[in-house]
Amino acid sequence: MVHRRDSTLQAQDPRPGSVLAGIGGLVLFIRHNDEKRVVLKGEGEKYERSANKGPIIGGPLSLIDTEGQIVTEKNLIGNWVLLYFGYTSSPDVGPAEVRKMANTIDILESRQNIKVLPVFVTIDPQRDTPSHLRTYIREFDSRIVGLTGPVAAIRQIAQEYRVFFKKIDEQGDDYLVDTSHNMYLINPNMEVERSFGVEYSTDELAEAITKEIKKSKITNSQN
Amino acid sequence: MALEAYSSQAADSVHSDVLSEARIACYKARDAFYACLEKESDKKPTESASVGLLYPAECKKNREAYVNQCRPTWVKHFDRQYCAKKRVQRLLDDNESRRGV
Repeated sequence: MVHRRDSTLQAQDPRPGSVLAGIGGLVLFIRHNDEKRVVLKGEGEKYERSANKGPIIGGPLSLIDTEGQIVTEKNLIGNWVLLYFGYTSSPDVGPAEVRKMANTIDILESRQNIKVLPVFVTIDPQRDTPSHLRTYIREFDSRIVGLTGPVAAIRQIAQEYRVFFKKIDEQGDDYLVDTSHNMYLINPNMEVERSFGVEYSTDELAEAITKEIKKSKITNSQN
Repeated sequence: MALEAYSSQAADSVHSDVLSEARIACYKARDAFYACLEKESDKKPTESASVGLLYPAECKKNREAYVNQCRPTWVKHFDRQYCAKKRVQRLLDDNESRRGV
């Protein structure tokens, strides 16, 4: 009988070893890749998601105002902005909200000496052309900046601000737009502080905005 | 580039039926119609407005003025609101019939 020596007790088949080595290499490679992609907490781009506060809404915008000029976020930086997403063909809520916005701006300026820039972005750009928007806004308060643009640009800004809008009740060419009619308060750094719904009256809105501005440490560059 | 193209192509038309003059006229016609409905609420509703709202024939003229002044989608919207308000009223007033259930 031939006794096999220890040295020949190694596995004759090299396949299991190389497979294990391959898996180990793959694991190391994936780990290396993940470590390369790490974004440390607190760094990263300005508009990334925040893990515990939810998505950071807001972002760059590029729209046309009522004079046909291009407006980007650079035009808004440095001001407190009250941003409203609406449309001119709203039966009742739309005009009430715009009226509320105009009155709130008046109260803030006269009583609290706070300048807030009101902005109306239309979520119905196909019907709200710049000239139509200008005529509509002029009936409320010509300080309101009206913004419109091609549908893709509006869709992008609605996505950034998580604004819901949907055409409903389509009858031929006519339709209503279902939307949340939210107003967003944006600080001079183009960050969204908070949003206000339709349940806020003019006085409540003015009071809430005053509180937010006084609480914030960022001062308006024009104040 | 798309933005410049948009601003040069955008039509100069203004939809005047959402501006305040037309809006106020629409609201007045709407209020007149609903006031008529309240007034004639004891008559049998025979005519059909939109979204299932029925109204008595006495209010037909008000209805026509209303439909002429306002956009059809607005008419539907206000009718729906009126129906919802009526339903809530009915539920609030009708708290006797299901007592003890």
